[in-house]
Amino acid sequence: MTKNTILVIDDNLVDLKLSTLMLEKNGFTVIGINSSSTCMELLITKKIDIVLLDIMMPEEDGIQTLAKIREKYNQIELPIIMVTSKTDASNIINTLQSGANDYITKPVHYEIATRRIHTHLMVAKLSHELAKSKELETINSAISIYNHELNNPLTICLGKLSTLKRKHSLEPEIIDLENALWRISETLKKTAQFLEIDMNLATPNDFSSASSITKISKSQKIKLINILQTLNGFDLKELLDVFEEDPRALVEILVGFQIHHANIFIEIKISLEENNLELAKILVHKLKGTSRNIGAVLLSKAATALDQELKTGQIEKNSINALREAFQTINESIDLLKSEN
Amino acid sequence: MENIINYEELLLRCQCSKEIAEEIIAIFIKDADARIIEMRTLLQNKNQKQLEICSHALRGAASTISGERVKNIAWEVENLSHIGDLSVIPDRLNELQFALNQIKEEINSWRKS
Repeated sequence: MTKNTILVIDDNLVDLKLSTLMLEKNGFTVIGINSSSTCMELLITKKIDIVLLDIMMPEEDGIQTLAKIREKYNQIELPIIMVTSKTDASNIINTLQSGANDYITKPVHYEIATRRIHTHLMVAKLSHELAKSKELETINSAISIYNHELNNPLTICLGKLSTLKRKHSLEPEIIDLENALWRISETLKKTAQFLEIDMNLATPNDFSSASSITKISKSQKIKLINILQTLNGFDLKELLDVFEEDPRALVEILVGFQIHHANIFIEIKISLEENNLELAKILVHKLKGTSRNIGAVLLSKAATALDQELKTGQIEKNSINALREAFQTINESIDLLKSEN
Repeated sequence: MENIINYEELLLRCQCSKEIAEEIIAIFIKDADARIIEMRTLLQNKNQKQLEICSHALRGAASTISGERVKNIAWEVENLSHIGDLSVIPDRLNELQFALNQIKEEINSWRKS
């Protein structure tokens, strides 16, 4: 644990020495000075947590020093405890009115002083934390506003996309776009949950063509979710969260992927055999992104490895074989899904 | 008559550390010697305000080591300076020096105890 640092200012060498020894003994780091002339410089250059300031000093007295410090640091930023041998009420009131956090009397009882110092350090710490939490509250409310602002155009996009899907069947770009938009929607949902704000977020069910035909029964849904969860080569956990209302929409996406990527492995293989690396790069990169978006982790991993090798120009035969095997696994899984659905 | 040093109180202030108490008394003796010389000069120059501040400082230091006799005399000098009655201060300064010498003598036997 870091020790708190106390700056002790006292022209009286006996008191200064005793304060230093006793406060060090009680667990603090102490910087002691016998005049306030260097105090401002020390406050800037050292990390001082609290000041113990003697009132009666020649040249500049403690009240003048206190006023100078308070021009730069308020009572929360830097607690100051005045040390005085004058115990009459008017002196104490004057001291507190001048911006001191507290006072202790001379001769100092160091056990009492230590407890008071701890109290003021605690108050300062809690005040800092409160200020920080207020700052966070402001940030949270800003994020909440942005969330709402983003949600409206996003809902429109998803609606328009649903129409496009009906017109252009299952174009891969549309599937990719839809997946990306649902991911954004999911992020907004999670942020809203985190901030505990109520948002009317769209769900795939609102736009799903499958759901517009017939409503899925509960048992059908459970069965389909079970199949999707154990589908070989896939990790569909995230997508199932998005499509939990009607997982048939997810099946449509996976089938669409299979249809539109039926020949992609052959195309990649031919481009590599013809040493057309640019085309190979484009195809592998596209496959990497799309497979990741539909949760085909096995294929995505194989495509990522090949994508890396294409960047370095050192293509391993094993990587091509791994891609072929991954492709086969994914196709078999989607075939199974079609037969079960 | 008051104690030259109230050891019980001093040790309580030092949270029972005799080592710290001895270190503080050594600093006090050195500081008090210099202050009494300074007070004589200030008195000669009739610098009433600084004499008050200087005696106040000596009183504070004496309080810290629980040197009751020095503290009481220094307090008297502080009050006399404050009201501007400098006539009896020379006698008080002699008493101060005497009380300080008593501390010096007593502290040696305390160290050995």
